[in-house]
Amino acid sequence: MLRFDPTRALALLLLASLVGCASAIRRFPDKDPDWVDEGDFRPFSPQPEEYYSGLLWDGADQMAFRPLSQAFRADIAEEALGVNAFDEAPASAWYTPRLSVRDLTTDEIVRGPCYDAPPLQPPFIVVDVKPNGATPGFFVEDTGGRKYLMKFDRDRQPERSSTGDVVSSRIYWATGFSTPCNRVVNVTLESFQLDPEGTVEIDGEDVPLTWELFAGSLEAAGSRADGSYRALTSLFLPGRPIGPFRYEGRRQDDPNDAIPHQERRDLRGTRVIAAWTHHFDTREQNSLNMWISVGDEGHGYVRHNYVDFGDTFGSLWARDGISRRLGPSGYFNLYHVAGDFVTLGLMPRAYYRSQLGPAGPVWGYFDIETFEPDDWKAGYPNPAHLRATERDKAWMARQVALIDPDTDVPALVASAQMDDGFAAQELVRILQGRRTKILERYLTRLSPLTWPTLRDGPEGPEVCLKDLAVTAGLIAGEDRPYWSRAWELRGARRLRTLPTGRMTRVLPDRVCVGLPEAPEATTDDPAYLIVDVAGLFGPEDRRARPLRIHLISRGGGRARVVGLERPYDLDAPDRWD
Amino acid sequence: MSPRFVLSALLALGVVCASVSPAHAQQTRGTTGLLRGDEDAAETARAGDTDEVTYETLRERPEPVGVEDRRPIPDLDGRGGPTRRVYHAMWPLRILLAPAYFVAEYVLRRPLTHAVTAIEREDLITKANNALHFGPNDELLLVPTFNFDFGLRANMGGIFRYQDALGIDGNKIGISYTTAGFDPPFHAFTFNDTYGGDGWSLSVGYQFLNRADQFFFGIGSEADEIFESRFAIKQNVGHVTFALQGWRDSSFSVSTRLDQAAYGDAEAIGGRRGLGPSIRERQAELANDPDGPQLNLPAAFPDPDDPDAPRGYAIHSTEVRFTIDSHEPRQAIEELPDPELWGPTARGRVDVRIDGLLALNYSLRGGAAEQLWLEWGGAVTGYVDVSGIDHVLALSFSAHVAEALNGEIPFTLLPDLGGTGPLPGFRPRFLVGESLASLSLEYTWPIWVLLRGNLKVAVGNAFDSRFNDFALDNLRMNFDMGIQFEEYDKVAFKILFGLGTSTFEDGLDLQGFRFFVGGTRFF
Repeated sequence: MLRFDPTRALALLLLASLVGCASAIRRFPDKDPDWVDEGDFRPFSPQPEEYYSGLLWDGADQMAFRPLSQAFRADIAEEALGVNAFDEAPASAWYTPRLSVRDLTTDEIVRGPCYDAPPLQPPFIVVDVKPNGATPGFFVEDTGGRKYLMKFDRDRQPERSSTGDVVSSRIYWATGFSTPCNRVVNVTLESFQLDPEGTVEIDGEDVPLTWELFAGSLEAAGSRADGSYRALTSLFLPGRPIGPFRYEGRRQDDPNDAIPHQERRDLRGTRVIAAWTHHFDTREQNSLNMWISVGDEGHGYVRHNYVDFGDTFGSLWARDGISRRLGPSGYFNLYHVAGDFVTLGLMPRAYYRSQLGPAGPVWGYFDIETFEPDDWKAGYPNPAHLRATERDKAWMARQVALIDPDTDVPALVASAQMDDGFAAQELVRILQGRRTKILERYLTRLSPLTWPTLRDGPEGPEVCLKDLAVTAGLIAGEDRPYWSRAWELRGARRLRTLPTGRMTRVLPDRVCVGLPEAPEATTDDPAYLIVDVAGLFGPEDRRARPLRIHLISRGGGRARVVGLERPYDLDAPDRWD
Repeated sequence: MSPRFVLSALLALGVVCASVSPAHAQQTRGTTGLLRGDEDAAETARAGDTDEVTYETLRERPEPVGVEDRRPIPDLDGRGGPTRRVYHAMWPLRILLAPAYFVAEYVLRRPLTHAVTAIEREDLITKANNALHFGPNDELLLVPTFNFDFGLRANMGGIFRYQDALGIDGNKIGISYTTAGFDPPFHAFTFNDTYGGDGWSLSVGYQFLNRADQFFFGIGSEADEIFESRFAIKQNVGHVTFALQGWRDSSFSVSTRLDQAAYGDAEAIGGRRGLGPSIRERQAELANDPDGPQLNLPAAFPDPDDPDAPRGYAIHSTEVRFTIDSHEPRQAIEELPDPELWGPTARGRVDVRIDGLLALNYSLRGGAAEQLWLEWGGAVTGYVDVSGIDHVLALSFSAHVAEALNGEIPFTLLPDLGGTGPLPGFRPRFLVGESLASLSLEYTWPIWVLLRGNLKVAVGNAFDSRFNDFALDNLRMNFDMGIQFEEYDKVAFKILFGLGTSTFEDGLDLQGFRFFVGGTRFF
């Protein structure tokens, strides 16, 4: 009788893991890439329960317990799921391809999530008082019946919080995420009316909201010399709130939630824009799931949103030591604490070098000088950020590259309507500088070439690519060296090297490469071609990697791009790609 | 190759391959037209897709499903997702670590997730905080405490603080109690009422101590681990202190104190024997070897066979202390650092602190003619901030003398160099004597907002009267390293690991180590 031998099975398990099972080079199917994950929109019922996220536990878990558990799980981050054949995240209830598929105009970026929002219509009826927060906040309704959360800035950093909410929400939106429409509005006491049934929580009890209570709480907000207040309005998101989303795992009560959140390309990629905007407060409490009803029978699906960007752009905390650590270290980075202890504090640390900028405390320690994109950290670890690979970060950097530093960034800052013009200029300068550092880091390793299109060239079909390193100004198009190479994949693993055709720069930022000839290809027996194209940052550049284009050629100049890869090495295609 | 081996191999490969192939999900149907196959289609697709994809905008709207109809991971790239070679290569390690993972995830993390989340959802932390703070304006605070000092008994208790006590602004009452149980007894109680205004304070206090685990290692420079023994003490102390806050962190205080104590072997004062041998037992043990070191009983140590022998003391003490300190007072929490005190321009900043003490003590029982001694001492410390960001080197010299003018000084009141003194690598009461001297070099550095590391090397010793037996060869070495939690005007917490040696003359042999965890300052 045959028996299972655990010792041999373990040995073979090891052997099998080393050798692997898939020995064939993996082909992309002969079809257009999936641009919508439609399964994410399946209506279902019942509505998921509201998820409660504990602030303390989430912090303790992410700082201590989860890392411990993960270490014993020997779970090392690999490439993201939820990525289509073009190395892009398709549309889903989490993400909408915007800059990943096209240039947005400055106007579109500035309108951002407010593209379909009607103008604010004061006076505002105060229906409730926001219970938490260092500054006053109210839930209000305008005369159009739309509900808003209204918040005010702190005196210590005037205009920072509202500017962060306005600008960062638009950046997140432009890079594909769903955010509320945040707008600045000037108000006076005359801009408000009280809901006769409004309440305010005092010492755990709801008491009727009176004008004295309202005016008293508004006093904590800094007013201008003319008595007016600068307020931030955040339009309620469509749907019914069911609590934050988590950055790991899946909801058991959402049958569409198939991809573990920490493995999602879109969530992983937010690490880059969080670093850019210094959104250290990317904890799960600053997200919000909304139940979107479909039909009248209780069905619906869950849309995932980012909310509350008020801590971006250099929020200062009560303790200077915490403010300095946000970004380069986090609230309590056990590795840094242990490292500083055992090295007697001799390790150079960015949090001791940062200084307030020319605008003073308004932007806190939000700077260019100490910013290193790879070293930036959320306040406490974000599971999706921790698992972001080079490809995830390069994916988001390609979108950041399309936010123009000279037109889009100043327009975004202008949308926050700051009174302090110098502080606004400073913010533009800092955002531009940090953007450059991000692009220099993430567009120079993996290929920044993207958006392949096919055209008939003078010598035959060509594939043309947009070079985002040129678009972003990292190198001039006319100075950019390129190389290319190609193979035909026959059978499962046999590669035949082919010469590529003519290479042409199409200024300002495109490059076209003639496709290799596949004379034997026919409609019934197409050829599977793989073309590598790489742009260099100089003749000595050894770090640049190619964009690997998978095509199916049917002969006679007919071809289809079926897949894109951004390899980490210069090797020929293999089974691990 | 045996069939059994082949089956094992196939089974193992099956396990791997099954997990290699991610769920080949259902193919997604159709696209929104964001096609990259040809340029025209791509350009068309780029026009006007700024709004989100919703159920309504889908070309083919999916049918409603039940919550149990969980979909598999979608195969969005048509190749089954990324290859996961590292994930699979890690399986052997994962199997080896499975027990540890089980404990970390299922014994620790998940139960804690449920428990702490429930606590937060029910707002029990606020409720607990409210329970610790009470009174009309939350002016009353009760905080539990815990102390562990290696060799001594771990103890726990609580502190109670009453701000603006009894309706008087600026009046602060603090009460603490810690215990390690009744057998042997360990109880420590303190009461302190401080009333103050701008730059001055007047405090009245009382302390009761009853513990049977006090160490005795001998007196003066001859103290040694071999003499380690225990004694018990019951003590009542009352004091009145007036203090003035001066220039920067300087201060001056004068206090008067009544101190009554009974001490002896544990049985002699009604307690049961503590940990390890008593002083008399150790003395008897060592007497068995006449050629070895002998333990001398401290002066006036009670004789259990003589009920009339003194069993302690009652003294009155008047004490003056002053500190001249050039350190700037700590800034308010929300203030940004002053560039003169923190940052590149503060590099090399030097501060100096001078501490002084003068006290006169006499017996309340027999008067000054029976017991009278003078106590004086001080310390001079220079600080250099070598980085400008609080990496501080401090060189300190201290001396402390208790000079008997009439009678003997109770050995429990002799100054102590170890414990919380300048040589913390030595346990409390290890280095007691009529005169003490030490020289230390300490480095402290920030490791987090409220945490500082400290590393100290020091030399010093306890000596006979007026440093009679002082000699460089007669100094001991101290090393200690630790982490301290610093919060101005709040409980300070410390983790300390220290080593103390014998004298240079005796070869600097290790004389024990000290590990301490706990609060060091309450009021």
